[in-house]
Amino acid sequence: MNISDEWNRLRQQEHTSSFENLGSWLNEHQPKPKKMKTIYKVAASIVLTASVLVACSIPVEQEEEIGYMIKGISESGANTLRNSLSALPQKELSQISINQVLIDNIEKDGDKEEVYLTEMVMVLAEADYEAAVEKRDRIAALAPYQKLEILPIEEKIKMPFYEKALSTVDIKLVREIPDSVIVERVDEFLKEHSSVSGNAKVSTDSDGQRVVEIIVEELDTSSSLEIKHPYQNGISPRISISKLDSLSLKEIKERQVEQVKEVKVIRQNN
Amino acid sequence: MKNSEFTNLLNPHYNDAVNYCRALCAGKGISEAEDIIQQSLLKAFEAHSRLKDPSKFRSWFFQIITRTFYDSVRRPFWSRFVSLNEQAGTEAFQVYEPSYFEDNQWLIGGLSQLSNKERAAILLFEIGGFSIQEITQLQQEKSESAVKSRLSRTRKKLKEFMEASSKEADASRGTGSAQHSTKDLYHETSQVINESKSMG
Repeated sequence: MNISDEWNRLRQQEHTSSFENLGSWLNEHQPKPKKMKTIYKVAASIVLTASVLVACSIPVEQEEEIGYMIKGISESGANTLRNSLSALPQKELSQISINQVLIDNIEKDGDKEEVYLTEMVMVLAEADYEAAVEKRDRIAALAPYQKLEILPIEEKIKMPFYEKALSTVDIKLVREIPDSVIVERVDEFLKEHSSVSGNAKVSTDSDGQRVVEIIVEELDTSSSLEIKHPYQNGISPRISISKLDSLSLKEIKERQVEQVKEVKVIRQNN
Repeated sequence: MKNSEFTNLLNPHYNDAVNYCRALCAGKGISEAEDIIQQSLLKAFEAHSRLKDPSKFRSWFFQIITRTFYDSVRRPFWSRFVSLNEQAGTEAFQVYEPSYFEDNQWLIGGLSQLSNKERAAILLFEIGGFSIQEITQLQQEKSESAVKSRLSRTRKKLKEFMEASSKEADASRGTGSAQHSTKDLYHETSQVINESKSMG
């Protein structure tokens, strides 16, 4: 037995007949559609990402607490109640309104009669419940009330969907207020609440925090620079310049430009 | 994708490729060899448009057959029973005739005793007609000497198997035994080989 002959015999095996059928067999076994090309995958992921971003930025409405109202009903007269509350700081007094309310058909000794009650309302512009409770307790200590309660002030707010989603898991986004908006707000506040119009400017200190400088002209007397407070018996009392530095500027900072570290008044000579 | 382009490329190498595949599957059933050649043909048909140099078609196609064979050895046991024709549910394409091995029983019997790598190396050399350098690349070896020594070792083994089979056949003829069928001869060849292996 020769191994070379064996190899030759194997090499000489003919398969012509099967080759003739190969073409039609390949036709029946056309390759399956190819998988998605990379460029289509990239395009699909871009479209998907864009759709998600668009969907997330669609504004949705949400009821949000923007502050609290402390509402009290007292049998004391309006003046008595006002006097009792005068012990409160001036800023808090400006947030309070007192009105007499007529309540009809109250039965007393079998007869129906009209009764006057005094309603006290304090509006708090901050949604800080603990601060509201603390103020309510202080008010309750100053005068007797039939009823004294804290009511939330809610407002429908439009916000992007992603922000709403974040707020549901108690993550709040802090948006930085642009310098131009701060300047606008301070100028507006000064125009509305004071007899002078300052020229506000926003600068950044060494810690990278923003400081508002209100540049006013150097004045001859302290009484020349005054802030108007509209809520006090309908009269606008005048506050001296020293109070502008303390009370009123604090108020500016808290109410108007909460993202600002400090508000300074700079007096300049002409 | 045109069939004619592929079949034109394949035509000169078809016989050798089919013989190579069957010999590579020595020791396995004919249906397994049939599946491997069919899968290789489909793979090559799908991918031939990406072949940059048509002159390398032969080595490329032989490599596809070799890899398909190795994959089939590694695939799960149960899936070896599912043939490609059954999966597709279409008319069967048959490459190998049932009588294919009758003329080559000695050689195939010997090849079945080799390891997969040894068998691939000797078949690439003898049937494929590839050089040592090409086989080194096809088998992804680092040096040609490894392939040379593998071929030398394989030839020696094959020669021993063939001689042992031949002696056994002569002995059975001398005793005036009845005419053996192909199946019996194949069985006896394997037995002789196993005996010679055990004798060392």
